[in-house]
Amino acid sequence: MVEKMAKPLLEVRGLKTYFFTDEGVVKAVDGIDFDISKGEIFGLVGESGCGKSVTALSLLRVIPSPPGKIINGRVMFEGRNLMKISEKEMRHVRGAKISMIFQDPHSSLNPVFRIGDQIAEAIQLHQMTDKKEVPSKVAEALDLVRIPDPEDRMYQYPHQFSGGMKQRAMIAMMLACNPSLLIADEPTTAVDVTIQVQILELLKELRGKQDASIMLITHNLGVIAEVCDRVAVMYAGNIVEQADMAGLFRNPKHPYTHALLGAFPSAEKKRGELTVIPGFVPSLVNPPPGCRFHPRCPYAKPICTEEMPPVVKVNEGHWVRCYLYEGGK
Amino acid sequence: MFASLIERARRMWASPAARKFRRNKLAWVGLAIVSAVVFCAIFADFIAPYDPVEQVGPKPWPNSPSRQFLIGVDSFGRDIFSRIIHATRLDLKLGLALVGLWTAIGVPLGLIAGYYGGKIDSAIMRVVDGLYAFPYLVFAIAMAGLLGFNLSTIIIALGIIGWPQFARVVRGKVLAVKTEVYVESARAFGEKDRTIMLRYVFPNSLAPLIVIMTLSLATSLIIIAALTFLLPVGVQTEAELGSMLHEGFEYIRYQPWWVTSVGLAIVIIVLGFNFLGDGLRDALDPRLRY
Amino acid sequence: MARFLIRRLIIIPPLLIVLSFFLFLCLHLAPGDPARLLAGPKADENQVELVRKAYGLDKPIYVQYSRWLIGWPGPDPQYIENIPEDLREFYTSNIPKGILRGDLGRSWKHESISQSIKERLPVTLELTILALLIAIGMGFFLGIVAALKRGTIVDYLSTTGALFGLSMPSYWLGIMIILIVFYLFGVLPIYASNPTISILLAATALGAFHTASVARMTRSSMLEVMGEDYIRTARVKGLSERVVVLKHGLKNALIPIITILVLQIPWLFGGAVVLERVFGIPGMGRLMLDSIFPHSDPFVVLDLFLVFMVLTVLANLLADILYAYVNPKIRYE
Repeated sequence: MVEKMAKPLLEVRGLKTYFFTDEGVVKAVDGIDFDISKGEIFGLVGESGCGKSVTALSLLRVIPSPPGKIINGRVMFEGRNLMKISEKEMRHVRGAKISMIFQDPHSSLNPVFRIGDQIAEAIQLHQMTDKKEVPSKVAEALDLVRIPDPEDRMYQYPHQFSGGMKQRAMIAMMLACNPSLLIADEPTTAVDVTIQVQILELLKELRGKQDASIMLITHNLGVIAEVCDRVAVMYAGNIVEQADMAGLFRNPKHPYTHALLGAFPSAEKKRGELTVIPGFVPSLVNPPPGCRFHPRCPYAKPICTEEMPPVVKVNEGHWVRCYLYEGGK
Repeated sequence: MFASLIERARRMWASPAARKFRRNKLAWVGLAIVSAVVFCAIFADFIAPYDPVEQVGPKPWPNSPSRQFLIGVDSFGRDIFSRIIHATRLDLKLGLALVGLWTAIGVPLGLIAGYYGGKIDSAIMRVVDGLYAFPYLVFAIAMAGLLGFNLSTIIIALGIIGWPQFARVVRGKVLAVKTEVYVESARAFGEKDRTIMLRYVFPNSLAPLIVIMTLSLATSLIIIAALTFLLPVGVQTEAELGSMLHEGFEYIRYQPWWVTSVGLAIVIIVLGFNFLGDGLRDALDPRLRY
Repeated sequence: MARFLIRRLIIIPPLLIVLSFFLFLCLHLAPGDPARLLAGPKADENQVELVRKAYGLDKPIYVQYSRWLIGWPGPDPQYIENIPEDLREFYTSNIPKGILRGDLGRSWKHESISQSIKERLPVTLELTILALLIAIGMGFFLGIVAALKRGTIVDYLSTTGALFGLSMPSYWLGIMIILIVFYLFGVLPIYASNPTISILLAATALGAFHTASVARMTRSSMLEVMGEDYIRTARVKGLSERVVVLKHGLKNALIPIITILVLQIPWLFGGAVVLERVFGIPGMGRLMLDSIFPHSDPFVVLDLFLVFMVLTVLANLLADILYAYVNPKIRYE
């Protein structure tokens, strides 16, 4: 377990979310634990389909309920277990205490309402603001994300904004109520590189200004390297390694993390090929028994096929789930 | 030529579309109803117990349903049940004529609009858009009123108004297929436009066309019955469902089964075509759903 | 937005002229002789000729049309003497001033058509609008419920129900309603017995038929919309499910629904005419039917048809405005 001086903002223990489909039960998130501290940018990294987005949606309890269901889990936030509170109370958390922005800004904003109205909706829902003050608060929010001419822009519709601006507008909408935690699900994936940089800079700024924590979900290690304080590596529904930036990049422990770093092009690697991780991401309906990475792991041992490895603390703030390490190597 | 048709039919039967159709229970009900109706229409002379036009005997006529006259006898002395059976023939004929007109006008226009594009396309689509909103029932009544009410006037009046849907559907398919390689190559080979349209483009639109034709048959029956119900179109002798409604409406208080059974007949026939058309649509082209 | 409106409005006058001319053409090109119809079945050849000349029906078509538009100079003085006594009054007094001056002409019974229409238009509109409201209300409700409870028995029932509804023509429903009321209360709910109830029942019969189409479209459109990303965003914002569905979802779903609603309008008008017959409601449809049989009155028919056309065009215009309101992207084209 991660120990911190101050109590963490968010404590997740044993989160399990399954999807009951015609083809079988998809174990998208199968028992994960992590903590996020105040004012920290926490990264959740992994390949597509490993369950990162499902984790985020589970935290907010917006999993589409016919196929999906949160089976188990404890999510401690502000002294309450979010999994146990009523739906009504949860709605007070969503958008106000914990917010989320999504990957594709083009489809995530409602095309038939003005940008200002969509932001105002959040404000009016969660903050008892005097009606007259709302427009200025909306303009403030847009200004915060560096959208020019906010007083005019807020009367425009999403299709009149560019891609990068749409993403920033979404951030404005989700930050308008000063949440303590902002979850960003692949915020840079759908925009091009120049905008990516802007968004990341913005996120860093916001962490400082608003004293908010950010949970950044991505498959891009470069993005992680750019902004995060701590990182968790996810594979096929489990978190296999968790560390702070230095620890992860200089001292990766889990074979999967190794492989990820090796597969990542960087200016420092002057030579050599990019390593490819052999094999395919396992099906989450029938995951391999034991450690889910073992079919692709060059260091696999017989015990790896039997049971999920326990959490092993490698260093202060750095733990891993792998049979290569036995209780503090 | 024939052999290839059979081969095509066999392939169609095994296709995923056909399988989907077979699973759809309502579609089967529809098919059953439609077959029954067609059967009635063709063999009415043998099925119906009495002649649809002749009086069943001297007065007084038994008005209420009985074992002999299943739905009773109408005010002109004719057996209602037999008339209904015979009416399927005329109504189907009228419906088919109407759908035929719509197809004959709409399909070529759709082909031309889609294939040639440009100004021709906009012109035709303007007309289509305009006609979509046309109050056609009122138009048919007006035409009948101005030019004399007989069946042919009505059918023609409706025919020149109701084809937009057909043109739209065909045009859509043409646009989709126009850019396919085999069309391009046909053109490169110097084939005439007409040939290209008929041999390559048109067959692709057959599937949605069949769906539209079936569903339009249902609506055409409703419209035709509505018109003959309203107007004295002079078919009082020959059996036709709408005009039977017209006749029976006067006696609604005394012989309610007259109007009810004729109406039910209409409903069942329309239902059959609707179920069938819906099933066809689900199987062949769900995107056609509006 | 203003520009959009103006563009739409400008089309209307020329459109109406084209349409009315089209009808005039139909009159001429199609078989049938209006003069004979006007003269009546008992008139002989001479009388028909006289009627023809008196009405100016022998003049070229553009002359006839322009007369209809801007007024009639009156019956040809040459022929006045040959017109039978009873009709002379009709031809020489109350000369129609033409459509453009608001005068729709005279009916066979010497009544002002404009007056008749003024009396009957509200009735027909009442019936049609009520039916439309019923169709929208029930249709939205059933469609949304079916979409939200997709896959359950509720969904299956309402989808099949919609198919049934589409197969039950409004006139049949009207007749059945009359029968049921008759059996329950011993009274035929026609206009003569009870105006309000008859209009209500007629509107129900008319609306029920269209509920089916609206419900189906609402269901499929809602299903599509509810799967969109912005719905997820709305939920994550903390909005209640009701707001998410009815505000964020429905507004987006409206666009194809409005398309279907517009398509219902011709049917609504047609259905109104039929139901006026069934329930004995004295609306425009009734007038039209009375002007066809037993005696034909072409002017009334023509004018009524034109009024229906105007109404249809206006309804389409309204729908276009609704479109622009619901879909902001259209406003800026």
